[in-house]
Amino acid sequence: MRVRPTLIALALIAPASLLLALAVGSSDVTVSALWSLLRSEATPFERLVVLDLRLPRALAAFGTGALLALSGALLQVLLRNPLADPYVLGVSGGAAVGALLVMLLGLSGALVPPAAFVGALGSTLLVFGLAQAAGAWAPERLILTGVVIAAGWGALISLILSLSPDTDLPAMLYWLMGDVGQGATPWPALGMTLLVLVLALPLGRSLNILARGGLQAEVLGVSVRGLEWAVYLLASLATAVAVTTAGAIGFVGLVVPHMLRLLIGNDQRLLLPASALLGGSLLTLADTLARTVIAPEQLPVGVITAMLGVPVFLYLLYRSRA
Amino acid sequence: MALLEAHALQVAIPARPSLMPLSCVLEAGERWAILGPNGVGKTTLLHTLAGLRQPASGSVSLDGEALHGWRRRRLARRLALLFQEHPDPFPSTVLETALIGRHPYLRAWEPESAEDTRIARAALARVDLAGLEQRQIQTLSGGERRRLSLASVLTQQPALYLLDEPTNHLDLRHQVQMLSVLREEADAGACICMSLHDINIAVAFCTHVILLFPDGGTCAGPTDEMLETRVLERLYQQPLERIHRPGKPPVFLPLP
Repeated sequence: MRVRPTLIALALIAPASLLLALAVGSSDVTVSALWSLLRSEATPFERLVVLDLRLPRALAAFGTGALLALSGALLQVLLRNPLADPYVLGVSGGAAVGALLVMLLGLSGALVPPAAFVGALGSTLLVFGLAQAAGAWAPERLILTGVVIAAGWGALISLILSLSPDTDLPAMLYWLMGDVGQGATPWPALGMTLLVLVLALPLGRSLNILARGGLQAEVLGVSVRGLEWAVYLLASLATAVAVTTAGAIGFVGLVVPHMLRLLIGNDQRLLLPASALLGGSLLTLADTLARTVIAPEQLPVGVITAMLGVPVFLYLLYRSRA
Repeated sequence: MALLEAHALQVAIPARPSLMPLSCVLEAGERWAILGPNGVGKTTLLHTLAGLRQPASGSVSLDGEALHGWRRRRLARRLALLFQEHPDPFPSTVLETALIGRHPYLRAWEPESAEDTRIARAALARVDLAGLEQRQIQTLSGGERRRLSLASVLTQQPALYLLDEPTNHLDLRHQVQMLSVLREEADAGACICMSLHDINIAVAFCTHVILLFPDGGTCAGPTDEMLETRVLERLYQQPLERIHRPGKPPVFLPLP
């Protein structure tokens, strides 16, 4: 356990990732220029690039990453499974179907985020309702229901893609791969991050005990049913807002809490804020990479997180077996 | 006043005919054993007594108050349950695991205090785990993990200990040690109620027994009146030999 060094490192990485995102790009802005920006001595061009283009995008990426990591950590407790992640339960699939339907029907692009949000929450309620309908809901039943519903969404997504005119396909694929993009508004994601932290942190010790099993938690005085509902709702809202902001981005929710658990243990009172910081920093860095690595072309950030996430996760898995 | 009272209690056992109604009164200072063959419903009975399951019929009350009227948090300060197994899906240290017993005493925001840590360390010392506080639970042996669970239960400081096969996985020395810790708790005014597979532990250690027969019959009473060879043979459907020891409790051995 390296609790203190890890927390200090996280507190440094988070602002550093944001600064880097502001400074790096097709036109590099030096740190001294960033500094003069703060004192409002910069050129109008620098102000435009940094404040109007890069800052909202960096903050949106940070909020999205924080939400994905938080919802991963919460769902892992809920399902008593360190391999759970926001997308296992079909949340992103539901969001994608909503977003792609809007594009297929040729409706206004402004409707894509709300449609994704409705799709994500709808899928959540569907999975929970089905898992609940069979009586007492066990974590295994919830996972299985989620996996099957996610497969169903996957089929619908393929159907929509095959029905869509060729001209719509690039936008649809970009959305599916996850992309923070230009003009993203950071406030829903940042606000939701704060809300989840404020609501989940007082439940931290109860969550620690819930992670040891539902019956164990009940015997120690936790009202399990209510807590599980709250966790499920918070994690779903967090995922829905994240997906709405930046499309379907994988692996952050899986890898970040897992990595931190190896470093600082499973105390949710530390793990949740640490996950938010690391998830936010990672996605900010990944997004910076996505828009610079083959500049002036941009990559979808979901591709970067997957390409980093797969080897990192395999490494962690291999190491924990050893 | 009785600590725990079961009145005409019938437990609902999934996919099995339910047991006959059981009535018993558990008082402070008593040590109870629940005996019966595999799958007869010992665990289900313990879970029902802990309020984790609704009885099929009849009632359970703690401190004279019906169990279903208790708030879980308040109940957790009076009653603890040692589970038969621990899934442990996440990493945790030995000390963190012992500290979970303090949960019902703490408010939502309240961190564990130095006093809570002291209670947890004392419990770890009583189960012979002192010095392992920072170890990861995944690295413990089965017997060490079992003793750690007992430490969590001791940290909870309940008036009623419900224990599901507490001596599982323990070597002989630690079995004896665990029983003497439980005896200390009972002497200090707690009530112990545990399911067991070892008749001889029940004979030597328990003041009372609850018997759950394979045909669904149930009965409860003081150990020396209940544990007759014929009754035990019917309980386990296994011929037994009773070995008399002057001045000591008898020993039962299974006959081949």
